[in-house]
Amino acid sequence: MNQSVLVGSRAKQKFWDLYKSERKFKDFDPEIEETPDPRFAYFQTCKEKNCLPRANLLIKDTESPLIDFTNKYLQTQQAAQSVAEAVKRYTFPVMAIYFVNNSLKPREAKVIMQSFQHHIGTIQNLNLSMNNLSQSGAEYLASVIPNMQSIKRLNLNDCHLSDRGVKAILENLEQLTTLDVLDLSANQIGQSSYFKDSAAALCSYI
Amino acid sequence: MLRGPLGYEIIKSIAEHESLNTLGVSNNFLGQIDKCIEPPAALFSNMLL
Repeated sequence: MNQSVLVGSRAKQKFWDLYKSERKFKDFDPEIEETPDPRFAYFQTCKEKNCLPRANLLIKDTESPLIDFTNKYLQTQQAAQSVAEAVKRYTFPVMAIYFVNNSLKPREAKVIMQSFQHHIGTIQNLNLSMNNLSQSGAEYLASVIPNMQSIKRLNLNDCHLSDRGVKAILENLEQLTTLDVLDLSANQIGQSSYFKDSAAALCSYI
Repeated sequence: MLRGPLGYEIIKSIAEHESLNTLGVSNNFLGQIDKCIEPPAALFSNMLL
């Protein structure tokens, strides 16, 4: 796939031309697809899920090795699924992925994380901040972390991560020697306290 | 007040990480954890407790 179909105002015009046309995306079958063009999968999924396509979800302003959905609203399962089907088909080199402040809930967050699975080995910067990963999202992320062989920055700020979720992530992070920056701010680390005097108990233990 | 053994475990395992230079853990429920343990200076100098 040529990235130019996803970049610039001309690409935006082509996006809508394609949507209005009778071209084969309307019969797109992911099982026997012939083209990796993410627009086909996006339109078809929007059609199946009965949601309106949005050009600004797929068309970027500049060509870059970056998938950036910062501040784009993906709260509904339909919107997340449609975007995920497109992202799965991005074949350009991806070094950074930003899904920040998308109102993702745990199920949608997992769908989105699954969509960039084949970029997981090359990404250096992953930012999922301000989305609700919760325990299920954390467990899924933990399961793919061993494959993040190039990761340098991992931002999970305000992702509703509990002690258990963070622990699952950290257990897998231990093997990653490339990681330089880890942001776990504004989560729930330490909230699972059930000993009234835990500080004193732990200090004496240490 | 350090709140919870899991919170402590988590910070301890982060502190032992090989390559990590910067860690953000502000706005969690860690209280004065820095007064309870003696962490590696390089790592915790960048922490925002």
